[in-house]
Amino acid sequence: MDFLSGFRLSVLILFFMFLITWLGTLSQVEIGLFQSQKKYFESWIVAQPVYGPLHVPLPGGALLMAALAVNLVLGGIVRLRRTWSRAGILITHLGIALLLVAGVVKFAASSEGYMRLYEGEKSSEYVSYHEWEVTIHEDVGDGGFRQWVIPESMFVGATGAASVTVREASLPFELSLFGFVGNADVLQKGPMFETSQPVLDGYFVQPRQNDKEAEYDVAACYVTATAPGAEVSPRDGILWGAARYPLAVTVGDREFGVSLRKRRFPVPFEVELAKFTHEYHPGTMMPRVFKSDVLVRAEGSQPESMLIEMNAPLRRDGVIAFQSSWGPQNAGPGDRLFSVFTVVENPSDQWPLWSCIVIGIGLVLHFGMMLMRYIGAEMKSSATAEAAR
Amino acid sequence: MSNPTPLVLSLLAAALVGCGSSEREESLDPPSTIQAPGLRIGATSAQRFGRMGGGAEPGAKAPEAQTAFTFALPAGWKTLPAQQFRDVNLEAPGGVNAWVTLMGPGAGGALGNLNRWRSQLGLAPAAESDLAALPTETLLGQSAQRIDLASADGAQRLVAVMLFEADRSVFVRMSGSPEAVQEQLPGFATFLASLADRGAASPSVASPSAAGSAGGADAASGAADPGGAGDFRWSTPVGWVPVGGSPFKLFEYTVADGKCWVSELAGDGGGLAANVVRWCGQVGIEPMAESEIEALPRLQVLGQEAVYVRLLQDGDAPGMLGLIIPLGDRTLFVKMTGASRLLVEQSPGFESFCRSFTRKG
Repeated sequence: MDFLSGFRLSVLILFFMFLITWLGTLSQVEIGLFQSQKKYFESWIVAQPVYGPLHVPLPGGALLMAALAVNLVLGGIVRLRRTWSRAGILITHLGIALLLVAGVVKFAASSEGYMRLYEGEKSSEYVSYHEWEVTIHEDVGDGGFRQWVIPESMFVGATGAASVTVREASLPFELSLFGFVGNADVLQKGPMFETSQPVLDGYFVQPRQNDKEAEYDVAACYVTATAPGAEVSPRDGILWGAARYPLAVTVGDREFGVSLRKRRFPVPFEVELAKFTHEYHPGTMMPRVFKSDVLVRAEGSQPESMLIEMNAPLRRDGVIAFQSSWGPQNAGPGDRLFSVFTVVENPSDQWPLWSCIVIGIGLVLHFGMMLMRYIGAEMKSSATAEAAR
Repeated sequence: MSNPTPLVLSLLAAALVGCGSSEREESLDPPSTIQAPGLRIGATSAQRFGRMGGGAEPGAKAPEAQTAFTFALPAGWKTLPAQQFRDVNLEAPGGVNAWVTLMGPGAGGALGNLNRWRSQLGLAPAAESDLAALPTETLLGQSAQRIDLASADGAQRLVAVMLFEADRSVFVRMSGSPEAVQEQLPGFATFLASLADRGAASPSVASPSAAGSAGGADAASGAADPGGAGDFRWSTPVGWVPVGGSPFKLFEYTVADGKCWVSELAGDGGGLAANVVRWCGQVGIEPMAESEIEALPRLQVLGQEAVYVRLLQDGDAPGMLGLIIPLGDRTLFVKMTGASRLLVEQSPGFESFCRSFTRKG
């Protein structure tokens, strides 16, 4: 208990935090921001390469944050003597604990992606930067499709020969996914070479190194559709994140389209881009202003005209949409432009602000009380000295 | 930790779970109904993976090509629908065909492909030792092997570049009659220099005609690729490699070991004399006198009289070519820097590049 709540552990944690931050920052040069974040800051243990095959285990960011939380709660809250003179310290520690909780909530429950709209286009969903999903669509007429969604969490482990089979009562076939890779090309199999990958309809999945910019990774996997008692065609297929059309699977007299795509998140309103405006600083290509006039429509309410610009995001129903980019970058006068919003849903969005306020109050209280105590002691010693004179 | 048994059992259980069946089953949520008017089910593998040839239904409208590459189309060249093993399929004047093939790693190896082409041309197989003698060429930023073969009967010539990477192989090939191929070599060089992976910084940023539109370049000037940035369009000389724009440069090219860029500044951009004197300092030349600056040659660019500054020294000493184009409310600058010897060689290209400037729209 003494160790868990003590300063020694605090110092040890802070040392490793410094080390992990340093190593994680350096590794971004080699493996990019996303992979580095996963390896160093979202892990429990990091196997740090030292020399050749020699690796040293280090505590990962998740372990360090958990240890810090324990250390903070035990040392700064549970074991703290609860006297009025320490009220400021207690409040400050509660504020830091709230900050840590905000981080955990963001890590576990937030989602982030982008929404790209040309002028006149509208959307009520945004696309993940990194997460994938497999969708199955069946045409129901009038532009409508029945849609089944297989989230990445279900098939991320279906690498190599490992497979995951998904089913649903209203879906007339089972779909097995295997050979999932986070970044791949789909290539034609030529007569001059062999490949260890399954070749389907003349094509195969060629795994590639992850891109340093993880957003550019294009995932791929193999699928097998089976339906007891019904004819399935084709039984096997390739799904690729950059494929331009779904894999068509016919089961009996029903046709389905199976796609691998970046995960879509719905938002509880529709955004329509009315007009996009951008201006440069005179004589340069540095953007001075870029802003989007949008119409926001929520069910049962009138369309609302809003402006999204740099440092002035749209905040509504727990969704935050930032103006992040635009294009095409080589557009000429009169060309149709699109605007890109980074969309974040984070239940703990405002918690860091509140925790900073709590920490501020705690510090003001604590140092205020110390100041008062100091002034009181000074006055007292002055009075004593006066009396003694 | 006096009794380690529970820990050992826990670890064993965890290991068993971790090493368990590699076949997992999951249940999906019930379906929802969405509107997706653009969704099309029923495409062939070739259409799905962006290679329209093999397998496309007869008469089916080929969707717009989306290959793995972007490129600048040389003057007079045309894109054709992609075919099996022709991810980028091009036709050049004189009945010359060119294409790019993207394959898996190895793809038959350098010797296998060289001898396949040699057999197509009626030539005897080459030996492994011949590979070492092949010249190299830069393709997709890597050093690639270049092959130049004439058929046994002299009726065909094949020029190809092959690149083998850890996870793919890329072949770029051009063939036709020897005369026509010879004539298209500059275009082939432009095409090779412009070829880039889609998603990487590519010439399409500057070149609205990239990835497939027909040339339209200023053939008389030897320029091949119509490029442009900001409010301007221009023709890019053969061999200039697009780099892209940056906050202070509308656009930049790499020209052999030198570079050339276009920038614009508000007003007079600091003034003619101040700029020329500053440039002299940058290349280590005595500043020009006012009378010398006034006597600098002029070029007609964008309907304006532009001042042409040639700051050249001997051999590899640094030099600069500069053009200052006053446009009323702003001033356009075109600069090329590098070894003086290079700049002497590139002067005609630089001048034709400057003369090719037009306003967009």
